Amino acid sequence: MALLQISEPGMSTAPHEHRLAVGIDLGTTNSLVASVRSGIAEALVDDDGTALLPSVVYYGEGKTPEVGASALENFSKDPLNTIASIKRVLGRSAKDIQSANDYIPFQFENNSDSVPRVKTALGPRTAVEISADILLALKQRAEKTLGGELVGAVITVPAYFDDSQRQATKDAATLAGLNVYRLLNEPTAAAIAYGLDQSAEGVIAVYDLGGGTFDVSILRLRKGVFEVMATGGDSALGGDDFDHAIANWVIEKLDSSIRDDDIAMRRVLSSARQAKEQLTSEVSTVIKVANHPDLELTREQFDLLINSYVKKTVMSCRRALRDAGIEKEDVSEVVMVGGSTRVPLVRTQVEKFFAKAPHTNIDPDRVVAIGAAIQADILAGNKPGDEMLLLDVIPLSLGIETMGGLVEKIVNRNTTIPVARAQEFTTYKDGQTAMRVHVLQGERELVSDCRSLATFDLTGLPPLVAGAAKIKVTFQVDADGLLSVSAQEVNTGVSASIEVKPSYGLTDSEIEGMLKASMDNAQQDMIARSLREEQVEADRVVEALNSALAKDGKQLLEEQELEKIINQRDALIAARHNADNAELIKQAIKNVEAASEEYVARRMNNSVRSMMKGHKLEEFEK
Amino acid sequence: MEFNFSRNYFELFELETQFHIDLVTLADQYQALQSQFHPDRFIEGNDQDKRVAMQATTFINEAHKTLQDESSRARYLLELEDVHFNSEKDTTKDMEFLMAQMSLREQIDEVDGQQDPLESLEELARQSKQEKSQLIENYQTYFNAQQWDEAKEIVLKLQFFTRLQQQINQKQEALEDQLL
Repeated sequence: MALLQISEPGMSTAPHEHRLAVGIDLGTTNSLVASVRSGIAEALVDDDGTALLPSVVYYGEGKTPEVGASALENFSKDPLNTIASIKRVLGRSAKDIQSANDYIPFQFENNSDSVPRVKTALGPRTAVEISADILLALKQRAEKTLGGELVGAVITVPAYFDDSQRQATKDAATLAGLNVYRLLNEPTAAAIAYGLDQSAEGVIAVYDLGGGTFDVSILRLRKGVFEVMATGGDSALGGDDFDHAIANWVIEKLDSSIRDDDIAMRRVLSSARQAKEQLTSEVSTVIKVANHPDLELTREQFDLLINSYVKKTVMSCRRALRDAGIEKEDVSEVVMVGGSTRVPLVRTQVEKFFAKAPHTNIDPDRVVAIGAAIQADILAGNKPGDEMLLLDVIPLSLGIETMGGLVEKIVNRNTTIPVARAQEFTTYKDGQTAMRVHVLQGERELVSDCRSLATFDLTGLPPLVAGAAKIKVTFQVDADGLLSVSAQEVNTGVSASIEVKPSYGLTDSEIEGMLKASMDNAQQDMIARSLREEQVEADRVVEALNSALAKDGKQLLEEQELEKIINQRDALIAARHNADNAELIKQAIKNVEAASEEYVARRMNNSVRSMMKGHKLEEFEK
Repeated sequence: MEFNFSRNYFELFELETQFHIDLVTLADQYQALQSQFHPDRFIEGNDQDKRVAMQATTFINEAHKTLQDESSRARYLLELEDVHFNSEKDTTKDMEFLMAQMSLREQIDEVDGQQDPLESLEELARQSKQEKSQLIENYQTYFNAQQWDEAKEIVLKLQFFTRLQQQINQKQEALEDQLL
């Protein structure tokens, strides 16, 4: 073996063993690619020595698409063909985007297609295609720097990304010609970046406050295994809110008519952002607004303005700890990620809550990409014998629609993946031969409050009496957090399945809204739920009774007895349609049951299958 | 790559098939199995290996979750003894117990009026934890005596406590949101 080996730049000395793998942080504003070289994970820079790639693509007429800083230069000249912030619509349907309140800085084609397409001079582009252009630019940078073809990539996603958004991210990477090793949650990536540096053991809390989103993850690191115990957050809270708080304060002090002037408003917001950044190191700053006197903003005043937002993030931390089943004293390390964690109040409040100084030594803009690069390096097999392993969780519960517009949760949030869960459901009507399976994601109890992921039909069921068919629905969530669903009738084996494909996804603010509302409305949900349940139960009882009466009511009952049952039945129907009180319906059901007790006994004696199912003590459980 | 799916959950983690288990051993064995079979270990493997890896870790995760929680562990042990559970129909018929559960649920709803609602909730949680551990002791006695019906009755009661804890958590979150 020669003492000196000559190799291509960027290639390791043992080219057959070292496989080129990267970690990519595909961000809303900026993206990064990082890789492990000579044992050190670092962000890869472009020809100008810049690591951050603005997540902007320019589609100029007659030109090839440009990505990054050069694309950004066209923003003022040709704004409609310069696409920024595409991540905000990735994995979302046209309907989602229309209904979203936030301002989207580009235009969509008008068509009924469920996949939204952005208008550009080079023709319509989907969010997946535009994201793929950004990823392609990062891939090319990596291949140039590392001197060879990439074997695989780990792409990071916000912990709160739902199934559609994850699928869309993976599709974009595939389109860019990347072999996706794994989708990795951003806070988890940050924990890896810190955890491996310090070979820590214990519980790590990752506090990730970006421009528009807040994520918190609780991880346990033990013998090289990262186990995500819980993840939570607030996907509509971030540094932008701090800017707005300052801007509102400025406007109140100076002139409320600024609000009506778009351009002046934008200037105030930009001064507000500068003031925020200055208050990171200064205790006071001066805000200048044209035609108005200068305003002094002290850090003390700034802290007051943003205090409620910071408090909210601390509340999310508390909740994540509870989901993880631990106390805050159990947390041994706190990691800060995201540009907004530079704000002093954020640092002091987080430190106060956990009673621990947070780690801040890795550049919060790069830490996610660096963690992803470390994971990619291990997955590529470059570190044989390294026991590092990551066990992640699903961030939002999965369920299916049941009778009455209710969601039956099948996989709860914060369950370790991969996971499979099966649940049996039954038919509702006699002779029913088809069943629709509607898959949903979210924490609320009513279908209308959760995100619809997919719908499919299970046909060819054997025509049996209501409740006799058994349909087993299985959810399989893989290690990327991606879902596939299958359904099977247990007795006959009739089956159907679906890979849940991206047609739309939750908007960040929707997820936050859903989670928040789920807490707020747990009480109303319970009332609405019990009412719906009783309504469904009433329908079932009436249906079963009618069907039984049609068969043998006349044979088995005296006229008087029959009349009594029918009276009670009609009272039940009336209660079911008029009452908004579950108790009244429940009582009416009991009356029907009492009236038909003798009838049921006779039917049993006649060895007829009883269609009146008892439901007595179990009611307490609901 | 091969994985034996026919072992019961205790055997999988090399534990005695009994109620009392060492949770540290469980955690160690769980990590060892994950390290060996996780899909991340087969990124460059063939489709067959990848599929088995996903199924194996799905099985390992399910087993881990089942044994970690006392109520589900108690139920699983009975299922290994061929005791069947029907979630639609099975419920305890112990009226006194049911009334006590109803009363606990009412107390959850009533904490709003208390001086320190969060503290009242915690008190409820402590109380329910105590009653739960009493039940678990009884379970072990019945189980060891192979009195399956009695043991099953206890498992059904334990499910009430699982739901009660969920309700307490929900209430706690709702209260915290109000404080903001």
